[in-house]
Amino acid sequence: MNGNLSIPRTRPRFFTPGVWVVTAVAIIGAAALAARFVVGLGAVTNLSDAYPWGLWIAIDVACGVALAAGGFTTAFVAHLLHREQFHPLVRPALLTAMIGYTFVALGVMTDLGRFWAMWHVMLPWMWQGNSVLFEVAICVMTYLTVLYIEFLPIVCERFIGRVRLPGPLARLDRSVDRMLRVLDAGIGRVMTVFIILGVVLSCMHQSSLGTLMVIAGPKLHPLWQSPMLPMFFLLSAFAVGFSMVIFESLLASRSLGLEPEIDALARLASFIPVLLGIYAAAKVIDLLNRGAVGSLVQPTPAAGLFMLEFIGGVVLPFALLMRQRLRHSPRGLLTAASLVIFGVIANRLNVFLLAYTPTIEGERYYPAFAEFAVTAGFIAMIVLIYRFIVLNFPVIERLEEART
Amino acid sequence: MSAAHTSIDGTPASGRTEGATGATAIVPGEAGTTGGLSRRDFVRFSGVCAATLAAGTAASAGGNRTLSDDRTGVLVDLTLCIGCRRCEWACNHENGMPNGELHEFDDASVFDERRRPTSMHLTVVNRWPPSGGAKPVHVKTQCMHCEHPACASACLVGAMRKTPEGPVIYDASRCIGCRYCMVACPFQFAAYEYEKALTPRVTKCQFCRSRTQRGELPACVAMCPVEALTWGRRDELLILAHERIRNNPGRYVDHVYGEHEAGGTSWLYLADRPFTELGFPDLGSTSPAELTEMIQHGIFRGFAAPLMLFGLLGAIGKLTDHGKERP
Amino acid sequence: MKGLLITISILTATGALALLFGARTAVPPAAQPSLTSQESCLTCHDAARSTDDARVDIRLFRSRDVVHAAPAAPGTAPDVVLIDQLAELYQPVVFDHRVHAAMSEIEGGCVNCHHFEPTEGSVQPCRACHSPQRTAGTLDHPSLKGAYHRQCLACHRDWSHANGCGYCHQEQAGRVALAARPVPALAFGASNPVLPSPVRTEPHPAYVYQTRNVSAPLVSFQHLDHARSFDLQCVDCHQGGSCASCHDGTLKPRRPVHSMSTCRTCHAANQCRFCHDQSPRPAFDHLARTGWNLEPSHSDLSCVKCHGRVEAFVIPSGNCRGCHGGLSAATFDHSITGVPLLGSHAGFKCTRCHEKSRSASPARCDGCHATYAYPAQWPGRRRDPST
Repeated sequence: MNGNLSIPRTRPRFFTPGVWVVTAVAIIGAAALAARFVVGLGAVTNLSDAYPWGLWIAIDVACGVALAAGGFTTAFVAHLLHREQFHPLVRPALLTAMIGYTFVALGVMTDLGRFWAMWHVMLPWMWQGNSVLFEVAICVMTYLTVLYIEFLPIVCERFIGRVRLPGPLARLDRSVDRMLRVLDAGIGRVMTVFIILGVVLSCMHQSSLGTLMVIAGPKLHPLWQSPMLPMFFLLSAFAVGFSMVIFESLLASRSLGLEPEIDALARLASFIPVLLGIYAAAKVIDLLNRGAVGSLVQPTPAAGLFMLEFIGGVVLPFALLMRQRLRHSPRGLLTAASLVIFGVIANRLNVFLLAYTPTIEGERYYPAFAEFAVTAGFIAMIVLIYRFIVLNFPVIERLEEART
Repeated sequence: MSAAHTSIDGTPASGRTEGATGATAIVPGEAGTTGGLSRRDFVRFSGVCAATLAAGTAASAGGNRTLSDDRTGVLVDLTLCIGCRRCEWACNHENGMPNGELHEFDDASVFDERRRPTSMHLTVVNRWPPSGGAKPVHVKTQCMHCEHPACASACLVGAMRKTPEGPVIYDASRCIGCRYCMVACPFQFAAYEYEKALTPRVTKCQFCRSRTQRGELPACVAMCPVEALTWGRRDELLILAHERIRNNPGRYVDHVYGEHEAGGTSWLYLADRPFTELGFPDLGSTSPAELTEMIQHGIFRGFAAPLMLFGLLGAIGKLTDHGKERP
Repeated sequence: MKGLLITISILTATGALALLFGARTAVPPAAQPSLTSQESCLTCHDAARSTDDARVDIRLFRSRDVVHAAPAAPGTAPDVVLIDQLAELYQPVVFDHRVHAAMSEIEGGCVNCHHFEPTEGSVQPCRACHSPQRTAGTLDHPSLKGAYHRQCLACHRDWSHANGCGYCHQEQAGRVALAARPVPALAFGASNPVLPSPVRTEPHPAYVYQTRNVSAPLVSFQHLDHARSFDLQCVDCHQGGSCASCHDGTLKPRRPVHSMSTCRTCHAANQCRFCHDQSPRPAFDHLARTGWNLEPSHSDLSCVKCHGRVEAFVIPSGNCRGCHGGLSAATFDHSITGVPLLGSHAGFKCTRCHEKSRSASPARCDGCHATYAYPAQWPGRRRDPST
């Protein structure tokens, strides 16, 4: 970060009016976050014995993990299937995943009552291998490390030959430079391992995130409760991973005034209907198999939520993305990708929050202001950090091309 | 107090260590599947990864096999309970919870709404209106101490633990406060100290473990004036429960709640009407933990699936690589 | 022989159990019943299950009660029992045994509570079988605490519809401030519940029954007079039914006795008009009907004290010696009448104030004092300055 001054200040400035708004949201979120750590969960949230998990777990963690799936899906098609045309999308996707998972971790820390004991998860004698959450936690932690390692080459590329340490530390410039070169070369040799590891870890915890709610049994509405939840979560993570890459790429291009990578995005988008089709078929078969279709025909809020999620987030984008012409229009792509993202967010919200009914019914949970504020603040922080890194590190190729 | 109780001092952790060593032994053989990848350091790295994860995964798989035949429980005869709520008083007293004077527990207005255990009270009694002119039924609620507890299966750091002697014990020194145990509990009897900023705990009945280890009855059982609560070996309580049903035709419905519910619970209930009329959840006869453990251990048995995926991806990477690495 | 074998085997098993499980022994020593020659364990216990297991304790359930004989002779039972073996958080409970014994005559008798008597003619206290110590092993045999509470509450809850401990218990001193302490409603001497009545006729509540008698359809029944003045026990009229059929905290209208045959066990010799009338009838007023005032000292006596049973009504002799056998001016302490004789009155003969020999008749003062009258003025008391 010390090299900030050395960045050639070409075009996009960090602060625009929109960014100021986002910054304000982030500051409010930070204040709410501070309040949570000072006065405790009970004072700022509406969590209760009946609803132990609320907005933070549903959005910050469950949706966060799903929406950060772009990292491993893109890495898979670009690096493991060696489809060269996707390479421009790899670094933005990796960055999204890295920031996304960092904030998943922060979101978990925020929700943990005894956050200072988080490190217990790393102590082998505390491990409880029956726990789905244990597997998720270990995978997420390992994957986050892998993501940081995968990001290291970008840091190296940014600083090699351009190390400018401030003041008396300037004497170390050459040795730091040499270290970076060694590191870069070393990582380059084993990078494939980390990429594969990243994909494996992602498959493991994306699916296990679904297994997480299986233990809630009848508390989760039968439309969602299924032993197939891990498969649904994994399939939808694949689909939403590609959609997120498309969504972000289009947004970033617009925000930074660049030409969208429409060819690569259209190719990427052609995977999505396949995944959605398999997902939809599996979902329908599962509903029939479990005899849960009956709850769909009753006019209940649950049935409505399910239809909204399934029609709006699966069937509709599937229909849209089946058309090739639409895949090549930025507007059409953005719409379809947004619908998939909406569908997955709706699904995660339903599974973790809306379709969850306590055994002993009481007052229904509605998130408190601070819960909204923290979640919005985290999203705002992600946007700001993403923007900062994109502007200061070689992440988006076209931005680099524009710069040189 | 007696020979039966000295067994309580057994080492419950033994099952865990056994499982862990058993699982590590698998790894060297399995690691061979990664041979498709050429790099040696990768093999070593994945081996370590697999070993640690597999060890963790298998670690407490054996946890539920270590239940003692002498494990204890409580039989609650709801036809005897008079709803005096003295068990609540005794529980508060024993656990140092906020408590009132004895006579304050005569106040029947608390029955106006359905209560559940909270972080302030580990056990509460609810009144269910009489059906068909009979007397109202009072139902004491507290942690059921499942035979195969979902909370213990859910807890990622082993803060909830099923002891071989029956009680499900919470250890705050391990807990990280994720509240997954509360999501998992099918009875929803675990509560949480949300009001504490730094050291919130999950609160639930600990089965007065310190008392039973001294040879005393759990506080609520000792207090109960009509002895509607009977403490004893679970297998004997079950026989007793069925005898009571058999010897008193018409007094009970032929159902011992907790014998099979959620895979069986240490607390067992007898009642004169179907349990669904008394707010008991209608749960199947398997623990919710059974399915997730089956899924988890099915996918991760011997850590084979992830390793195979790893190998498969490596092979794909190798096969599709036409010499052009990324710039 | 078979019984003996089973006894031995059970004793052996119990002994083995005691050795194996220590305090988990099921049967407290006091509960060992002695068997007569006609009985075996199976008389009381179901032993359908195999007893080869060492844990036979809970497999033997008493499903029947055996009471050998009518309990001890009337009058030998205690009036009040102080239950103090278990006092810990609460004070000892004062149990009115007499009232409960009388009530139990209505239905069931002593067996209601004394449900197991091992030997002829004995009546055991609860603690003979139910141990004050509760051991974990006594699975289906309540300890003394459980036995008491189950026994008491089985009826008490039925009619009080309450479960408050304060009805019988007082918390130990110091546990609760005195003002807040609920006072138990002990029932000495006033064992009859307050009964509802459709029509209240002073001075006592009465039931007024509408009967099929055409000319005089109404029967006014003075319940309190029957219970208190006529010295009848509840059981004399009320037969059968549970406690709650008369006692009910909610005071729902109840007519446990509504048959003339019950009345005619006493009233058979009387005319119809003795009970039947055209309008509600007030309670019996001794002064108005006989001219003899029961006040002040005879108003609390039951009728039979002076008149004998209703079936054999007697008019008491005027000299009161039927009751006051040793009555003489020399030995009588006049102050027990509420009127101490002081000063110049101390040496008077009875007839100086009382008419003839009817010592119980109201005194007259006008023999000596021109303007004095009893009871406006009493001997020895100062005159009120205002008059």
